[in-house]
Amino acid sequence: MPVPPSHVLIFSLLLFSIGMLGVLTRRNAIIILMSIELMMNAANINFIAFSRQLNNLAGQVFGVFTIAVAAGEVAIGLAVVLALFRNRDTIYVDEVHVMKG
Amino acid sequence: MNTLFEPNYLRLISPELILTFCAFLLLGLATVKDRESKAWTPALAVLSCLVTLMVLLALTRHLGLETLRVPDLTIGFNGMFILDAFSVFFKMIFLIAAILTILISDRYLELERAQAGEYYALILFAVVGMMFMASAGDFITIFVSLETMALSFYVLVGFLKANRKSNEAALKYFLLGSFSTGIFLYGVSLVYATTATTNLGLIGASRSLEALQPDRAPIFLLGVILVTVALGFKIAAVPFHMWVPDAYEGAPTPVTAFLSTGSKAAAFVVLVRVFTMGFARLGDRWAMLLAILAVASMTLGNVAAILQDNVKRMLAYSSIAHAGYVLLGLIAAGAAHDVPSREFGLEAVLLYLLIYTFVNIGAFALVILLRREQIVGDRVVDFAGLSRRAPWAAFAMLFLMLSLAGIPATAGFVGKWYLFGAAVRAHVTWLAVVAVLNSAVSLYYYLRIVVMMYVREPAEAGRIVPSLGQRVAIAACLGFTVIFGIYPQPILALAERSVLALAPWTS
Repeated sequence: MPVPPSHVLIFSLLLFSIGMLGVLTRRNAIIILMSIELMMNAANINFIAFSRQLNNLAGQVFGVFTIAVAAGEVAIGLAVVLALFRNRDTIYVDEVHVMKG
Repeated sequence: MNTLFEPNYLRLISPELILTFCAFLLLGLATVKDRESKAWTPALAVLSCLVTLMVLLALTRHLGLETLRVPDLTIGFNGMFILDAFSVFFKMIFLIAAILTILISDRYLELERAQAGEYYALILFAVVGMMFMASAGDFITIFVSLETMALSFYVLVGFLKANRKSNEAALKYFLLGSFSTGIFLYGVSLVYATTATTNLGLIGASRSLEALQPDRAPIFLLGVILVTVALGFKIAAVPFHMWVPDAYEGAPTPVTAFLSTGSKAAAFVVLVRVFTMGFARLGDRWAMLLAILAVASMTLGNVAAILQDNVKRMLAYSSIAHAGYVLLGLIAAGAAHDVPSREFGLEAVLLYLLIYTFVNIGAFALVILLRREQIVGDRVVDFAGLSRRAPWAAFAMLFLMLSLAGIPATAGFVGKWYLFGAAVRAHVTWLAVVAVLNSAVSLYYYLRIVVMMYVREPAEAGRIVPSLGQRVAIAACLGFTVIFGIYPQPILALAERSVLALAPWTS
């Protein structure tokens, strides 16, 4: 039995909201990074589910691109966090505030 | 059945291919230990940009884009890549911005002891991303090219690994940048869910009307809003500007210059393409949405800029305000009811982004000039008495500041004149009034630097001698501001012809 599109939308919207909430409330840079991944995967679920629903391949292609780019983004994100940790001994974003105004 | 690939497509992307090749070449050179050959990297990077620019112009001439018959498009990769006069205009902006940035980078990197080949390679990779953004005709191309640019910038902003400010700037820029990517993706997935395509031309031609049926409209409109929010992050519009002051202050100054011009122009090209091609039929709705962003950006940007003591931070807030001004042109394009007014609005956007590129990179070049051993030189007081220590540089800064404020006889005035004029022509006069009031406020903090340079006594004696690259860059920016401030017809004509390429969608 196929899953109706409205269920997919509700599920992905939930996943997206959890990710967004994580970005806005968490203070640990790594957890924020993971929350951003959740947001991207919510989009991927939409792409892939609707690709099947609409019988159109573009969504799946988009999904593959998203996964590849997200991997690159994580690599750079971890490098940025690592450089910060070497200088500051912290990965909590609320402890990082040299600049203000 | 569409063919997936034709050899002819490679010709369309040849400028980008050449630049990618050059970037890899520079990356390879960066591994060479020999210091002698490393000194040539900046020159090679400038050369790569110049060659790409020449190939681009030759290709444009060859395809006949310069005569500009409507509909004047060369589409490749099944609508994913559009080479039209509009994209060529922006590609020129990006390449010029990159050349100016490289020219002002050399001395700065030496002082920061961060001289490295991969810096120039990253700048070129960012330009490749921007150039593909200018030509993107499909959400997939937009996404991939946007990320190519953004990933290069995350590294560039954090390039000074031992510098705490640079670390912090990179972290904030990266977290908010990828947050906006997540929002963008989700928005696009909703648009795809309702239109069954990611192609901007198809969405604009008919699918957006189908998607506005009552059963699908809420999902579709949510998608449009999320895409707008994500692009709002990239153009640095309030309330999505939180990363801007910190990223601009902490980044190496040449990177800030490039970020505030190239990256902003690239985000605007996507914004224009998405809204005039994809969501053209929703014109009056997104015009209202953008009007809120524009008013907030102009007001908050200018008021916050007054309070800053750090020049880089001040210019960051000023760039937020300028994003607000540029939005006026796009709003005019959405709100106007007749075709000439719409085209007039887009023309003003193109014109202003070109002018802003020269003026802002010039201003940052002056900030870099003050950077010396032991002295960071990015506070407003560091400009004290500059007219005595470097008369020509101070004169250039005077003109650039007046141009940013929009005083007549400078290029900045011409740009603002057209933007505000476009708003009036599209019957959103109240926006033009807000913008003019904001320009008056901005005069205060731009003139503060001028007063510092000409009235205050210098804190230390000794002349400041610019390097060759800095001289060339500052002279180019000053020359552009002065010449096109008095005689703007050539760039006006260029912008006018470039916008015609969007005619199939603006009408």
